[in-house]
Amino acid sequence: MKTFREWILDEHRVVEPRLNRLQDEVLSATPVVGTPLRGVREQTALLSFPAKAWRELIWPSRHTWAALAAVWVVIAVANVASRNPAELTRPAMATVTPDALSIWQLQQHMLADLSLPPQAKAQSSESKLPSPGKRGAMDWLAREHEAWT
Amino acid sequence: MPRVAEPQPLPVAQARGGDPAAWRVLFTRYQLPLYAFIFEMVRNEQASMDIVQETFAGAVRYIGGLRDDAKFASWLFGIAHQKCLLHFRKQHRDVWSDEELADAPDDDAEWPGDALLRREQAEEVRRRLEQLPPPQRAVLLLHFIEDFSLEEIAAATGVPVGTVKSRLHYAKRALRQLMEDNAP
Repeated sequence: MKTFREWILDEHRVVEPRLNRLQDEVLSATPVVGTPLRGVREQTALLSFPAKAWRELIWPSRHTWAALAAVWVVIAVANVASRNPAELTRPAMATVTPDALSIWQLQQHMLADLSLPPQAKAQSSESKLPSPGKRGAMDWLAREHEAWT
Repeated sequence: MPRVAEPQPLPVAQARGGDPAAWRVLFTRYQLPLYAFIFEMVRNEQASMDIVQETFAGAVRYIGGLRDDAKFASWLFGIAHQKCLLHFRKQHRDVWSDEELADAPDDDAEWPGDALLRREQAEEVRRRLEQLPPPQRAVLLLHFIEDFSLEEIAAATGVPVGTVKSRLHYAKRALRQLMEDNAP
C-alpha cells in the first residue's frame, strides 16, 4: 500500500535514465552563468528602464503616440508658417526705441541711487540726471538708431 | 497531510550563482515529479520530455527572476504549467478556460489521494483524473505530487487563491463522485 504520489512516481520511474540524459543536454546547451545579486539586479533594472518604458508604455499604444506626435508636428509647422517673414529677419536692435533707451538709463540711475549708502547718496544727489557727456552719448545712440531703422 | 520532506536544503542560491553541480541537484530532485505532472497533463511521452527540457532550460535562463529561494519548487512547476498551456494552445485545444466556479466551502474530508491505496485503486484514481478538466487536473496534481499549499498552487498556475480553492474542491468532489459511480 502506497500513497497516490508514490504510485504515480513509481509509474513514471522508467523514464528516469532519459531524464538524466536530458539534464546533461540542458546543462550543455544552456549557458549556466551566475545571476547578479539583487542590488546589481536593481541597478540593471534601472538601466533598462527606457527599454521597459518603451515596451510597456509606448509600444502597446504606438498608434496613439504616433498620432500625438503627428499633431505636434502639424502645430509646429503651422506656427512657423504663420510668422511674418519680416519679423524673422529684422535685427533685435530695431525694437529698441530712444524713449525705451532713456527710460532704461533712468532706471539704472535710480537703482544705483537706491543701492548707495546715505552719505554717498547726499554727495551724488547732483548727479541724478545724466551728465552732459552722458546726454551726448544718448543723443548719439538715438541718432544711430534712427539711421539704422 | 505532511508536506514532501526535503532531506537537505536545496542549493538554489548556488544554482543562481552559476554552479552546474547545484543545478544537477535541483534537476535530480524535481525531474520525476515534474515529468509526472506534465505527463498527467498532456498524456504524451515525447511532448512531456520536450516540456521537461524546456522547463529546465527556462529555469536556468530565468533563475534571476526568482525572488524567494524557498519558492523554487512552485516557480519551477509554474514554468512547466505555462509550457503545458502553450502545448494545448498549439494543439488548438481551448480546454484551459474553465467556467467560473462558486466559492468552495472548506473541506478536508478524506479522499483517495490522501489515503494509502492498492495498485488497482491508484490506477482507478489516475484514470478518473484524466477525465477532469485540465484546470482542475492541474491543481489536483500539484496538490498530489508536491503537496503544494493553496498559495503555492496559485503561484504556479497564476490564478487567485480563491480560484485554486474552488478548483481543488470541485476536483476532489468530481473525483469522489467518479470513484463512487465506478464502485462495484
